[in-house]
Amino acid sequence: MTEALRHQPAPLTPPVAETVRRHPGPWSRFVRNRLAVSGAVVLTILGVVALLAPVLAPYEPKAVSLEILSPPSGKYWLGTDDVGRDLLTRLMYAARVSLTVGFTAAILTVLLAVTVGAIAGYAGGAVDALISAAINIKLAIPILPLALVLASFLETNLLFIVLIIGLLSWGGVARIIRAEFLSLKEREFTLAALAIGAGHGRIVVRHILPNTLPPIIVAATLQVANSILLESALSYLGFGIQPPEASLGNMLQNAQVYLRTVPALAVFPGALISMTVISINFVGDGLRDALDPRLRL
Amino acid sequence: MWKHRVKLASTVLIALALVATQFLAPAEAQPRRGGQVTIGLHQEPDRLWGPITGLVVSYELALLLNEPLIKINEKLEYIPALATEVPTLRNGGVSSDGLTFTFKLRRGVRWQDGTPFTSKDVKFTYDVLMDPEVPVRGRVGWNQVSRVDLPDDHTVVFRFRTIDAAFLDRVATMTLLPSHVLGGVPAKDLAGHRWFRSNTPGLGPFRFVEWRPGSHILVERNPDYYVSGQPYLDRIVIKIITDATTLTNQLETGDVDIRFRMLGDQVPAIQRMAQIQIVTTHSTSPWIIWVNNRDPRLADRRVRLALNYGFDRRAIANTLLRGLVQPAYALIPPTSWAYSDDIIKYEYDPARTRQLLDEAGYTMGRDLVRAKGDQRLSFELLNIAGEVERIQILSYVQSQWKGLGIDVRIRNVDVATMWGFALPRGQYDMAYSFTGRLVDPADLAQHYLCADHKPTTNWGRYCNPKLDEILLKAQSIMDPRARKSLYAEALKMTTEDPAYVFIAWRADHTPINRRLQGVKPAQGYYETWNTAEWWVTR
Amino acid sequence: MQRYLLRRVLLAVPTLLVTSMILFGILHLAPGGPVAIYASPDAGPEDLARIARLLGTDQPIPVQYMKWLGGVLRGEWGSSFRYREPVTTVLIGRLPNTLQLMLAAMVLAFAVAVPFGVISAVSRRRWVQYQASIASMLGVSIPTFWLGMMILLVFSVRLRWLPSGGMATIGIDFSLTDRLHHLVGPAMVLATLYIASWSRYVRSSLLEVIHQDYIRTARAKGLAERRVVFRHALRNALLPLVTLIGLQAPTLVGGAIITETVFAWPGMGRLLAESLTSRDYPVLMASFMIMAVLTVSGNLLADLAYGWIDPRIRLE
Repeated sequence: MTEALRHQPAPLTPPVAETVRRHPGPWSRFVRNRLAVSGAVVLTILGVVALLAPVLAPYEPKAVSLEILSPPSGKYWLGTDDVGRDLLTRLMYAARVSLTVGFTAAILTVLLAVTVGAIAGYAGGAVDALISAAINIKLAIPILPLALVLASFLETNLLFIVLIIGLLSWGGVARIIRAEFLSLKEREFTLAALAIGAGHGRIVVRHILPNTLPPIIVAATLQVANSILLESALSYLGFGIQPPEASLGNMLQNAQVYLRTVPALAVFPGALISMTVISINFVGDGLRDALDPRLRL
Repeated sequence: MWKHRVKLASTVLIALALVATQFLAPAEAQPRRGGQVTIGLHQEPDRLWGPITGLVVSYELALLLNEPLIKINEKLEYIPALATEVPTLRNGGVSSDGLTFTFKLRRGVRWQDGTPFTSKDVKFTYDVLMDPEVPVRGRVGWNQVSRVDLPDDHTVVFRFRTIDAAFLDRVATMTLLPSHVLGGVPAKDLAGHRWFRSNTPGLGPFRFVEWRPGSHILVERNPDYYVSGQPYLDRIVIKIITDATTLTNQLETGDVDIRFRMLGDQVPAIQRMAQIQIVTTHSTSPWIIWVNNRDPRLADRRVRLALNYGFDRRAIANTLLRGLVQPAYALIPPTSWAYSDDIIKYEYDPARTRQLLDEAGYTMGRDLVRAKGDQRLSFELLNIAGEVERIQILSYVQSQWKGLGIDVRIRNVDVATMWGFALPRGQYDMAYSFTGRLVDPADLAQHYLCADHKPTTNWGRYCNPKLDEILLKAQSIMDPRARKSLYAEALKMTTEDPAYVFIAWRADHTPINRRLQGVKPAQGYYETWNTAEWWVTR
Repeated sequence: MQRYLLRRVLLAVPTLLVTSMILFGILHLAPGGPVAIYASPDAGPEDLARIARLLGTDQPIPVQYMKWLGGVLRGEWGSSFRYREPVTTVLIGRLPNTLQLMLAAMVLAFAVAVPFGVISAVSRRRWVQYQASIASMLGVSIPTFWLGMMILLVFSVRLRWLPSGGMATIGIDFSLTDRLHHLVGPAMVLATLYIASWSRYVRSSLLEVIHQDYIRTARAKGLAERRVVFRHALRNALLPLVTLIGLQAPTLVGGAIITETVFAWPGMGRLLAESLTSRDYPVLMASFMIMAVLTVSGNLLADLAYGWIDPRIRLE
């Protein structure tokens, strides 16, 4: 009997999948969205360059020289910064740092949010009440000011920036996940799985979680963009990734004073941030439309 | 900026008028009455009385509204303000043992509400300063006063337990309190009194009009100022603009006429503005890397010498900071009367550095960091996040040290962590900051005396009994020539066995709209010291 | 309904209490503390002890917290370490300025986001959709301080169209046009943070509504497309946006830190940043609590608004 059921998963198929089957699949919907595809292409290029920075970069990122603020030349393609470091090299490493911050902080946020939201939504009752209260408290604490307090006395290296951003941003996503779980656990396929004696862990991981993937993926994508922007905001206030380590945020912040004299120092990191964030947002939008056109986020 | 330790007077000023002609020429032009000037402050002042604020901006504002007994001018000479003359040994104002200072007060001076100003106000100011219920930030020096006597309404005599060579600096930064207004206020409510937010009534050239928090402060001409005919200006607007780039924009648009204590990084942008001239003054406070001498690696004199030889001060001063600052090797600036040139001026010397580290037993490891056994030359360096200039210097030094096998990881902390925790408790390897200084070289002792003598700012925990002997002797005598030779000896010792790493003397820049005349930035004092003499051409 | 309201309000009390404990704890975790700021660096141990006593930071943290809480319950927020004035006086000087800025930014964001959302939802031409989403996304993809600086450089320094900072021309009496003139720049920057997400909401909820029966009915009746969209669909589609605005409004205060700094706007955001560096705990705690209360009541209002606009939703 159980054997038979395993080979006939039809009753367990969620309704979402049914509607999807009638229309073109998510993948073909995504590739038809030109903005999303170009976003993905830009991101891939940036990612590859960032990943290969140690190989591709013409100079050492922290090696100073006395050729300061020099204009673009054959020797320095984009010129040098105020301590005589090669701008192109710095940009590659900065993209590396910023993307790392963006992606790891987003993963952390989503892991936290999914864990908390899933437990609350699935368990319900007192556990849900308690966790919901915690989420409300979390949301009542303003992110940027608190990040400033923490960054003022914790180390502001990569790990801590990721931790600070991740720990401070999970509230909103957790709420969405909780709501999804609340409704999905009452659905027929969940009840059916329970009826045949599936464990709670199995139900959560195998049955409900896959159905909450669309909002999770979209939230994660947007969180990457948010984290990159938050790091640059922290940099402006002096508490982001610290020089001489390069991040797009601190390069832009540092370039402020040269805005009128050496605008290139600001233009390149600024353009890179905007390009990255906008690409991520397009991909996020594309994913949302592809996975569930009516999804609200 | 909090750590802009009460910027007490420093020694000498070199006014490097970058565009000297226009600046010096108007000497023959006649000051004109009337007009308004806008000052851009990069920070909001808090309470307008030196002893309870730590902010230079608050001192700057207080000097518009109120007045001390003496001031310090742009040549860093003491000049009389509410006192008729500056007490000296020669005019008998200072007793021959250096333990009594007598101030004669100007007659006929009135507070802005019409009440006469008398010696009682001076005594009252001192009493408030020493009251334990008032949140005065510190009382170094004042706590050496044993008695304040008032022989009459216009004479004040300060008597001391020990010589306080820097007393006149302290007097110059002390604006006076109106005893007729604050006299009846209970001590614990005093700091919260409205007077400290408006200085009304004050004794200064301008009267308080309004303070819109976060936006601006408006002051107007005090017609009863004790210098007749002054001030020339009708009004001064003090705008609070915390973003440096926005402040620069406002200089360009003419919304701001002048700002103070600008760092070199903004200079190139402002040099392009035809209507702005920049006056540069060399400071007596150095960029410094504090070094924790208690650390076993840093206790080794050879390692500290290696740190000093291991980076290029001249390249930093001349190239990186475009010649706007001068290299620093020891704590007394070249412009001080007590300076001696017989010191080691560390040149960048990689070979020497390597040799010193080899001698100390630190050999290059595979990770390109030198080590002796498990002792690696890898340090954490505390820094206060901030201006571009600061980061530029640090990145450069770090990179050069790195090439020689000295690894430094920068950790950013905030002001309170640096000055309230890491330095006072010795919980750090190295720390980068600048330090404010007093006029008198006696200040040197506070950074070098062994712990037995309770030095207040020997953050390095350095100890050298031979140096102590010289420093203590130099503090206890009055004869300047004998002191000078003692300080020369001490200064040389501090470079032969360097406790710290000095980098460069800071420079401050004052951009001024050309329509504004009569500004004389006084480095080490407050740039608003002579606002009564400011005037505008249109 | 009344019971629901009462329950929500009662529930807010423990939320705020725990929030205040966490914030108080985090602030006091920082090493150094306010004494380092309010004493001069060469002050001796007696001076340090005296200043700690006068600030009240010499006591254990739980005692300090209880004192703070006791004061708050009596309506006393203490006095600012930095200004030595009652915290309420300090805040009253700043809060209205931030509220003005927030309001202007929200109105602007709403005015831009709704048409963008509608266009990208109803337009059948793909390039129109693309342009609408690129435009709405552009603002949010530029770091706030950078956008602000560019606006200042272009519109006030080069073109001289906008004032170069501040909220009023100093020395003249209040005038509405002057205030609006000063609001344009900062409100624009702050609004961009929300335009993208708000227009996205409008689009997706509009798409959802359009497929519902009553819209089909309206269309079938032969109503003009424009009338269908604006009279019928949009009204219902705005529902989730209202909720979102309720939820996001408080974040504007925190988000205003940077905008206010760049535009020299004398608001709460800058007060907050400045109180952080000066460890002005009483002001910090009060500002944080204001934001927490705003968030909690924003949540509540959003729920209430939801029930009011859509009677099908029962609040209990």
